[in-house]
Formats: sequence, C-alpha cells, structure tokens
Amino acid sequence: MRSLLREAVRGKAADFVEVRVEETRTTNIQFQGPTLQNLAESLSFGGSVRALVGGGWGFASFNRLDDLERHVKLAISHAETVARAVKVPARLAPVDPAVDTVPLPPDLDPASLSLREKKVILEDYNSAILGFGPPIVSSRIRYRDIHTRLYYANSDGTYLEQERLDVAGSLTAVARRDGLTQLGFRSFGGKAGYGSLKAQGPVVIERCEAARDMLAAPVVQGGEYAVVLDPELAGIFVHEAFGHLSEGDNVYENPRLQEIMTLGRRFGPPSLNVFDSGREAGSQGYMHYDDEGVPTQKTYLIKDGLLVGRLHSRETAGRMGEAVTGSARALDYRFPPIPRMRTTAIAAGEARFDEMLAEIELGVYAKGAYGGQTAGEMFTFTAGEAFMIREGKLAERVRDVTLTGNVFATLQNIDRVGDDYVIHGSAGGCGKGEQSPLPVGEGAPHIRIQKVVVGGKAG
Amino acid sequence: MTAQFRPERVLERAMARCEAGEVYHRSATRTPVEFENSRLKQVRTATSEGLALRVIVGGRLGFSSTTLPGDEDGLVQRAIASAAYGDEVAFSFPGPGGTHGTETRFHHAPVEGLSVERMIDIGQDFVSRVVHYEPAALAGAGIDRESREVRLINSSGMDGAYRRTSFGAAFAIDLVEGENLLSVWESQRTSDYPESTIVALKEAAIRHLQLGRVNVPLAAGAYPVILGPHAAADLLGPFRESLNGEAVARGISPWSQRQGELAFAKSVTMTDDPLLPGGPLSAPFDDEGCPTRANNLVETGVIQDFYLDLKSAASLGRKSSGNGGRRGLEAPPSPTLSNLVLAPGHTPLADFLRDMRRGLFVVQLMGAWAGNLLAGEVSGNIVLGFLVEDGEFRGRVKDCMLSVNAFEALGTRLRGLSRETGWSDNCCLPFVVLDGVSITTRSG
Repeated sequence: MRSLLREAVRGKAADFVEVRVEETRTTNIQFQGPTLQNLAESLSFGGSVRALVGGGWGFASFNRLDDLERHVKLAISHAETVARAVKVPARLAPVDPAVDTVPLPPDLDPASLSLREKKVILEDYNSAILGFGPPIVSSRIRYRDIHTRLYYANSDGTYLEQERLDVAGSLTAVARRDGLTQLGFRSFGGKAGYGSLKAQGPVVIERCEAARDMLAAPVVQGGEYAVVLDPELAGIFVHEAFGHLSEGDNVYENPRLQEIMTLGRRFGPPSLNVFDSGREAGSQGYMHYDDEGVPTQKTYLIKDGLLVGRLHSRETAGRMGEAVTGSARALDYRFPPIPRMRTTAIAAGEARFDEMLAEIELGVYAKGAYGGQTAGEMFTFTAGEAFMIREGKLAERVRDVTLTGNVFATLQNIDRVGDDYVIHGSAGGCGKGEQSPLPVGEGAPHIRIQKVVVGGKAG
Repeated sequence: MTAQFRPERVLERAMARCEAGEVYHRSATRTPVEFENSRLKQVRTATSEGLALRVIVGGRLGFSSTTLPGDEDGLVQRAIASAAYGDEVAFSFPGPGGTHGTETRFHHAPVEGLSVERMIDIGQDFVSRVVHYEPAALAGAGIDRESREVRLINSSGMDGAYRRTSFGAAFAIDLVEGENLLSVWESQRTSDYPESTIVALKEAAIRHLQLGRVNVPLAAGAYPVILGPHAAADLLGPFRESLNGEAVARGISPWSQRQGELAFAKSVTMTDDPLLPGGPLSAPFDDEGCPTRANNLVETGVIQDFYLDLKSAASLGRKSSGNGGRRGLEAPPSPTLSNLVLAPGHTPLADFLRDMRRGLFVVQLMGAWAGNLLAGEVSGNIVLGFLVEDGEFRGRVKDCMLSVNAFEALGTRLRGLSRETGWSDNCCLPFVVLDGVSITTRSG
C-alpha cells in the first residue's frame, strides 16, 4: 500500500495531491422492542484523491483501487477547471512531513469481544427495559462499532498508517399512557474499546424511571429562565453554540465575521475556558493525526473568557496566517477533509452543583439531549429531561424543554462553571454539510446560564 | 486483474448454504460543483459501488454488505454468521415482477448530460446576482448530478433493475451586518432537470435576504403563522414517525388502533407517491423488490394507511406497501417513505398573506426534528421568519422559538393550505397556514 500511494502522489502537475484509502469493518446491532432489528458486520473499502491547482480543489472517490491513476488524473483535471475560475491561489499552511504508524493501543483488541458477546450485553439491557413493566411499552437499542485502517499519503512526503476503533450506541425506554409517549434516552461512545458498551447496566433502570415520570410531568411553561445544564447538555451546548463558529472555513473568507471573531475579544466571563482537543484519550474525538496528516493538539478557543483560537485546516490556517491545529476531518473516504471539532469542552471550574442551584429563585435544570443544531449565531437544543428549580432547590419534573439563544449573549450570561467535568460521546455524532455523523466528544461540567429562552407553552 | 461486483455469483454461493437469499447491487456516479464565499471552490466526482446480501438460514434472517470487489466469500460468510443470531423470519422474498431497463419516469437524459461547465454556470450566475445586489454578502451554491443503477435479485426469482438520475441545487447567502448574522438558503432535489425552478430558488434566496436585513421586535404570545414548505416539512416529522409500520407493529405509534378515524382537518391528504414524475426518490420497486404504488396515508383527515416493509407487514399480518428502503448500503431495509406529498389547497398564498393582520411568515425552523415526535411536539428556533402586518412584510424576527403540536396543527389549528407547492427534501407540500401558534421570545 505504501509504495502504491506514495507513487500515486509523486511528481504530479498540481500544487498538492493527497490520497487516502480506508478499510472499515462495521458492526451494527439494533433492537426495536423485543425484535432484534439488525445484527450485521459489514465491510467497506474505498479511497479518494484530492488535488489542489492554483486556488481550486478537485476530488475523486472510488471503491476500486485498481484505477487509482485514473482517479488522480480526474481530481487534477477537476482542480484545473476550478483554478481557471478562481483568481486567488490557496496557500496551505506548512507542515513538516510525517512518516508514521499509529496502531491501536496494545490493550485494545477489536476482536476481544465477539459478535455473540456484544449481542448478549445489549440483549440484557433490552430485557431490563422491557421487563420494567408498565408504562414502559417498548425499547430501542442502537449499537455500532467502526474499526478502521487508514492509509494516507500526500505530495509533501507524508505517509501515515492509522488504526481506529470507535464504539458508540444509545438506549431508549419508551413509556406510553393515555395516548402520550415519552422517551428515556441515553447515548454513549468512546475510542477506548468496549468499556462504554459494558458500563450501561446501572443506567438502564434509571432511564425507564425517567420515561415513566415524564408521562406525569407538565409541559414546561415557555419563557426566559436561569438554567443549569448538566455536563452532557453543557457539552452539546458548547459544541453547537460556539464550536461551529470556531471552524476556520466559516471565517477565513468572511471579513465581517472575522471582525466579530477577532482573537483577544471577550466572549465570556473570566471563569470560562473552552478548548477543542484531538488528544483527549478515550474520547470519540481522539486521533493522533487529522485527515490531512497534521498532528492533532489541544487547541484553546476561549481562555479566561477571551477568544484565543480557532479550528483550522491547512488551507484556512494558511489563508489567515495562523498555525495549523490538526482539525481537518473527513467523515470517510467519500468526502474531502474540512475543519471540524474533535473533543470540544468547557474546562472545569470551581462551582459546586448545589451552590449553583441555591441562588436560583425560579429556573430550569436541563439534562441530556435528543439533539442540537446551530445556524450563524443562533443555536437550539432539546433536553432529554428537565426539572424546575424553585427557591434554590430541584422541584417538579417538566417535559418538552427546548432551549434556544444567541451565542454572543448566551456565553456572556454563563455565570457559574462547575467542578465536575465529564466527557460524553454518542452514536449521533456531528453533522456539517453532507458529512454526518462524524464521531466527536463533548466535555463539560455543570454550568449555569442566566436568561435562556425555553420553548414550550406560551406564558 | 480487475475485480468486479458479481451479484449472481454471490446469490449462487449463498444458495449453496442458505434457504433463501437476496442481493442488492448499487452503483452510482455523482458529480457535485461547489461554490463557497462567492467563488467556485471545488469539483468532485464520487463513484461508488457495492453489494448487500440478505439470507435466510434455519428460518432466521442474516445481513451483510461490502464495497470491496472480490469480497464475495466474505460477504456470504458474514451474512450467514449474522443469521445465527437473527430473528425468525415471518416473510419470504417477493417473486418476479420487477421491471428491467430504463423508464423515463426515473431516468432523465438532461440530468445525465449536464456538463460540469453548465453546473458551474448555474452557480456563477447565482454568485453574480448576489454580489450585484449586495457586494458584502457571501454566496454559496452546490449543484450536483447523479446517475444511479440499482439491481435486485433474489432466490424467489425476482430480477429487477432500474436507473435513476438525481439533480440537486442548493443556494445559500450569508450576510454579516454588525453582530447580526443572516443566513438564507433554498434547495431542491429532483430526478429531472427543472430549469425554471432553479431560477425560482435563486430568486427566493435573494428575496429572503432583502426581507431579512431589518430586524423587528416581537413579544411572546400566540400568533397566526404561515409556514413555507421547508418549515411546514417539520410538521410532517411526527406523521412520518407515527405512520411508520414498525412503530405501529410495536404499539408505540399513537395511531396503532386508530386506522379509519377522522383525526385531522378534512383538507389534509397525505400521500406517499413513489411514482411521482420528477420525484427525488421515485422508483419502480422498493429496496426489497416489492412493486411500488401511490399510497394515501391520510385521506381527507382520516388515518388511512401505514407504510410497511416486508418485516413490519408480516408482523401486522399484511402485505408490504412497497416501502422497504435502505438508508445506505450498510443498513438493512426498514419502512421508508419515498416522495411524501401533502395535497395543496385552492387558495393562492397571496390571499392568505393579504388577510394576515399581524402574524409570522416562517421560512425555516432549526432543531425542530429533535423533539418528541411520537407525541407530535415540534419546537424549533425560527432561524428565518418575518413579521407580517396587514399583508406587508415588516422585517425579520429573531431569538424566537415556535412550539406547536403537529397533530393539532393539521387539525384544529389549520386555517388553510396554499395552492402553491414547494419541495423540501423528499416532501412536496404547500404553504401551511395556522392559527394561534405559541411563540416564545427573549422578552419572556
């Protein structure tokens, strides 16, 4: 593979050429109620070539490696077509060529858990949900692991072989009474082997109880509240609300957004520190090199409340005259790498959870998430479950809590950062353009935010 | 030596060890042209090909897929291994009945013949229009064409194949003024090449940009709302979940026992139409080889039918409705809608607008897919929406959350459906006019 790929990118009539080849074994297991919906292992093999000529990119992906030379020519020809229409040449930030092999850690063996053992673990979770009894009427369990061997070469002389194992899934308890359905949901994921798969036992009953209790909970009264987010939701919040704005491709050709995202500008209180790291061991965002062959790092985005960095590909870093961060990621061989998050996190602060609650007269405590989304400076996400906070204490459960806001105002309104940092993963991953779901990690402690708009019944 | 994908050979090898087998073979070539920040950025060609195999061994179902040419033995072995744990099968693969060759309903020569240069021209024209209107705005565009071939063979004698083209056009504009970020986008995917709607999409994007430059305040409360096709498509999410045969079979759909009941406004008719000319997901048979047909899911307000694949149909004691779809090569078939059509009304949009004293015109919602869909709850940030007073657009509303129950929306809260329709992904629907929709805002 090494000589084939290195030969394919050598001496071509382009400013830059890279080729990647992936072999991926995926295991999927799904239960829907008592039915084993799917249990399968599949093999995916394919590759792609990306070429840069002047300011234009060309890209070609394929499943048959025997035509590699033709795909290289096609990518270069596409890049030439673009270059004819583009006046500004791309400037890739310089990176020292690397020749390296990154195997899985020696204690991480993809074969250490058989298909049968995976099924038995999930079947036990499923039986626990279905055996909970009324009002739990059904379950949904999704699991997948992705074992990838990745080969990468570029015309700068980099050649990498990497191996990754991403394990993720979700458990859902479905409660139903009098025509109302509520879900108790839990997702998990990591790059540290099958530990997270095995660790969900204690969570299962708790999720059933949550779904049951939500049936009796009223819909939250819509309005503006002080909210406390649990670490999982706080992680999704920082990913959605701030992470996407930090991606270099949103900024590098947008002078007006650059003014807003000027390094050194205050974005939050001095207690707020946000970073994005490729080196959080065990997290789904862990990777030694990104998909342009650049070593990853821990990149601070906000330090002491000030904007200090952003997430770059070689192109966006080069154009902005900033350093590479190892943030160029491709969903798989079918897509070109673009600036993406890895593990995005709010660093631990000093506040205790009970202290955060104590100062709130009327507020909402929101935990976990079904999902979130962002557009420009606006974000929204839906909490998995929620409770009212009354006179400094957790009070009754409420349901259908969706939070929305403006990132600039909301980050400034964070007034407590907790001391209980947790990294979370999920099978849902992150979506950008058509590249979804990309495995990412999200880390945070509990945080408190003032004046958040909560959707629900109008007040 | 060039390795090939050989579906017959896979089926033959599988049948040496299995009671029944089915091979799904898909190959596609897709060429996207991409503009970012008001310039051409990238041209791509993605060729893809692969096989998916289902087998029945000892009465149990197994599945696997591959994109590695020559992985035939591996594929058969993995599918058989999967069957060892699979559920008992209550259905059999359908027999002959698939169609061969090219049907003009699904395959459109103008799409296949679209040159990269022409696609660049379409994008460049949009960039020029945007920059002409506002030089500080950044235009983005994605134009792509795809040709796909699907073949399905099984041990019951089914041997069907079809070709389908796909044309996608997406136009976006970003404008930053102070700390105000305005993003508008329009997109459409069809199996044919509708030149006139490309122009309409471009014009809609620019018009929404013009309307969105002024922000107006809005107090929380209940408002009449016109949902454009993209926002209205979010109302269909709960229907998609609740009409899914699998949800019905499992008893988690709120409508498992309500077939034949009048549950919505009489103007509501919702049809899954896999034979719709130009529809993005039109096909002569589904991904399990069952012939497709138009299926009224809701008819004049009555819950008429559910959409079923072989498996959910078997557990409900019915026949597949031709809705066995694969979300990718690696996913086995499950109940999937093709082109979902919400029937339009008779009133022009202009009339609804003219009659609006004070209300909202919502183009796009964000995050509305993430709610509790089986409960009908749709709640999203109004990412692009305008205040309308006395039929006039007053400006953009921001930091607002729209919350509505989709079942109520197409029931008691429905005031009307427009005559005009638009596409949002695989849904074709009119503008939906609602009364008394709850809007939450910053001011509480």
